[in-house]
Parts: sequence; structure tokens; C-alpha cells
Amino acid sequence: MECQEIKGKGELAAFTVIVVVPAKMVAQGYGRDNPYCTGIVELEEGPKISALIIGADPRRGEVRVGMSLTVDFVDFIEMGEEKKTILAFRPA
Amino acid sequence: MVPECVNSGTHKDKTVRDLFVEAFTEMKASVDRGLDVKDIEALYVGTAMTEFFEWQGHTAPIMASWVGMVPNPATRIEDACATSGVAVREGVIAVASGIYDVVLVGGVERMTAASTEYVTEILAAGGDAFYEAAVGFTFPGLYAAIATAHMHKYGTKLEHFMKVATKNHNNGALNPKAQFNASIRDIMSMRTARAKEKGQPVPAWKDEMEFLNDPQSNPIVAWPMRLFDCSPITDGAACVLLVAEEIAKKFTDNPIYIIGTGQGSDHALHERADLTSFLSAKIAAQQAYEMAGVTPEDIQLAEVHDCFTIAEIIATEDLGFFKSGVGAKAVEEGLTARNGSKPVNTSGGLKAKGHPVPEMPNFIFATKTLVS
Repeated sequence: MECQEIKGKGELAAFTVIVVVPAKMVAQGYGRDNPYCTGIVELEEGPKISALIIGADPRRGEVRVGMSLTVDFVDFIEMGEEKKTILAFRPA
Repeated sequence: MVPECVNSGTHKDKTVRDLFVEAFTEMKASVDRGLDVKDIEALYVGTAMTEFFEWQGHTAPIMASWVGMVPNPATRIEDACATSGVAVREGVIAVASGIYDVVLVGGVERMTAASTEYVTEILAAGGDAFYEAAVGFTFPGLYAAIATAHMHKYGTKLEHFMKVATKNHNNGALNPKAQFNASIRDIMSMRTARAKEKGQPVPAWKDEMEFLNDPQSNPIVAWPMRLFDCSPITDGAACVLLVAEEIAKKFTDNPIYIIGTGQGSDHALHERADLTSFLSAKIAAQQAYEMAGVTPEDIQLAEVHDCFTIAEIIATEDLGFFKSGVGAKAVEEGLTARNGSKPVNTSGGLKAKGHPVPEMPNFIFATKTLVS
């Protein structure tokens, strides 16, 4: 196995807006009144990856399958742990 | 094989062992020529997440102890929603191998005592903890993403998902053991009556579709999956007795024969080439059809995994009942209804019947239907 650098650009292949959130995401401030979007991004290089989708409001129809995305990262503070960096994508 | 027994619903006051003993007792009573527990040589029991729900691991010997099977071998299977399906298959393999002649297989889970947020978090452990749950995917979320891919590729509409829910609730209304033993129309009447009783504004839904399109009555769980697209959080247990063909008549005059079985596996969702189909289900179906010497056209009744409405649509495609992308149209045309050409989930499915995660109810119902 070897590591390969990727450009961090891709297209949204599938997504969801999570309203009933798991306990872990409640701790990040998400919930019924503040849902989040997560999806599967098909990278330019071919592979797909799961990631948070940020910077677009799904309630306004701003998130669509096929939209161009660019990589970003979000810091989560986990209870009793150091900050954790989560993979995210935003509109290109 | 001798059925049966399934109890689904809300049983907050019971533990998994209580539920399993209850299912076992009913199964034992249903064996028309009688069953001595001492004749059962091995147990394969499916529990998916008892560690999280009641801090109970190593469930197999506990269940064996409580049904009186000790010191015979007891093995626990964990395979997320496929848990008890795999337990049945392991039992079949054990009997077919000749090692055992009489095997008990079952599944049990108790989930309703936990909060929805906690259950959502626990169920996400059935996905990939580091790649999927880490970025916020939940189980409803994964199926919701699959639904968006199916909608994008095949033009599947939210209304198709609603048709699946309506059909399965219509079926569940006829199943006294269903968690939701009610059609969507029954639920609408109950809500209307409750509103009147409380002196609240009485909702005026014209039909099921209007009720399901109402964000008050059918809120979003993970878009595009709404409440009525999701199987409920359930407590339940089920078990089945598997015996070698040669001795089946010692237990019952009406044995059911398992003529085919199959199993496959797949990657985390994002690693799959096709997000709109389940490779593992296709492979499992091919194996089962081949072993049984039948084709999809021969199937007269199917109980499929409808943890979410999109899952039923895709299952009917993967099992070869309909071409890829046509499953939604099939529901719309009523082909999968009780009186359709290919009845699917006549038990009410997991949607109405309830979904204790190890998932045995659909299998049990199919066998009961065959008996009757």
C-alpha cells in the first residue's frame, strides 16, 4: 500500500441532511433545529470518500448531486479529548 | 425447519434474555409433535449491539443458559442488520454438514429504553466508524444518501418512498404481532381523534399522501428519508428450530424446507462502484437461486430488508424481480402489493412490524406464511 496525494477537488455523488443527529453531533451543536449535511464525494482522481458538506444551505436547494466541490477541514472538540479534524468539502 | 415466534414492539421492562426466553417458549409450544430442549445440539443467536444497550456481551451462553441448553455449544453472530439472517445460514450450514441434526437459531435486541440520539449513535457503529460515522453519517443518513443517488440516476421520487410505507403499513395492519399494527389511514384517524380529544386544531389530510407530505406528521429524519420511511426502534426476539430433513417429521407434520441460501459482503458505501445497488445482496441472491434451482420469476412471495423504504425498492431490483431503476415504478403500479404479481413484505416489513436490529422478523413471517 502506498500514499498518493490528491488535489482535493471532486463532485457530489450522494448526500443527506441529517436532522435526527447522533449524540456525538449533539455535542457539536447540531440537532433538529440545526441539521448538517454529509455526503459522498467522487474525487477527480477517481476514488470516492465520505465527508461533511459545508458552505451550502440544503434547505435553499444549494446542495445537489453533481455539484463541484473543493476540500476543507472542520475542527470538532470531542468531550475529554483534543480537537479532532474532520474531512469536509465546500462548493468550488 | 420448524418455525417460529416473533415478538416485536416496546418492552422497556424486559431484558434481552427475557425476550429470547419468551420467543423460545412460544417456538417450543408451536412444535406440533413436541420438542425436548435436550434434543437441541447447538445454538446460533444473533445480537447486534447488546453491549451498547444493556452492557451485555457474550450473549450466546447467556441465552443457552436461560433456555436450558447448557452445556451445548452456543455461538453469537454479529453482522449488523444481517445478524440473524447469518445466524440462520450458519445453522443451515451446521445441519447440512452433518455435525448436528437439531439446531436452534434466533435473534434478539432491546433498543427502546435508550434515547433516539443514543440509538442513532449506536446504529452508526454498524457503518465504518473512521470514515462514515466520523463525518456524521448515521444509518438513516447512509440510506438517505443512497436514495439521492437513486433519485439522481433513475428519477425516483419521494412519492415512491411514500408508496412503500403505505403498502407496508397496510400489510402490518393485518399482522397482530406488528409494532405498528395499523395502516397509515388508521394512524391518521388516531391522530385526528387525539387532536379532537385535546381540543387542538384537527388536521384535515385528504389521503395518505397528504399525511406523508405534511412535515408535522412526517418530519425529516435524514433527507430525503422521513419518519415514515424509517423502520422504528424496536425491542424484539425471534427463533426458529432447524432440523435435518430425515428427522423433520419427528417434530412436525408440516416441515418447511430451506432449499437455498447465500451470503456476500461489500465495502463501506463510498468505496462502492454503484451507490444504487447492493452487490452483497445480488451475490447472495445468485447463490440462493442457484442452490435452489429457481429464478427470480419463480418467486411468489418475498420478505426483504426494508429498514428504510429505499432499501425495499433496491432489494426488489437486486433480487432480480425488476430491472435496475424500475423498483420504484413497480411499487407505484402496485406490483409489490399483497394482490400484485410479486407481493413483497406482506408481513408489514420492518417498517410496520418493527426492526430489532438483528432482523429476523421478515424471515419468520415468510416461514409462517408458508406454513399457513
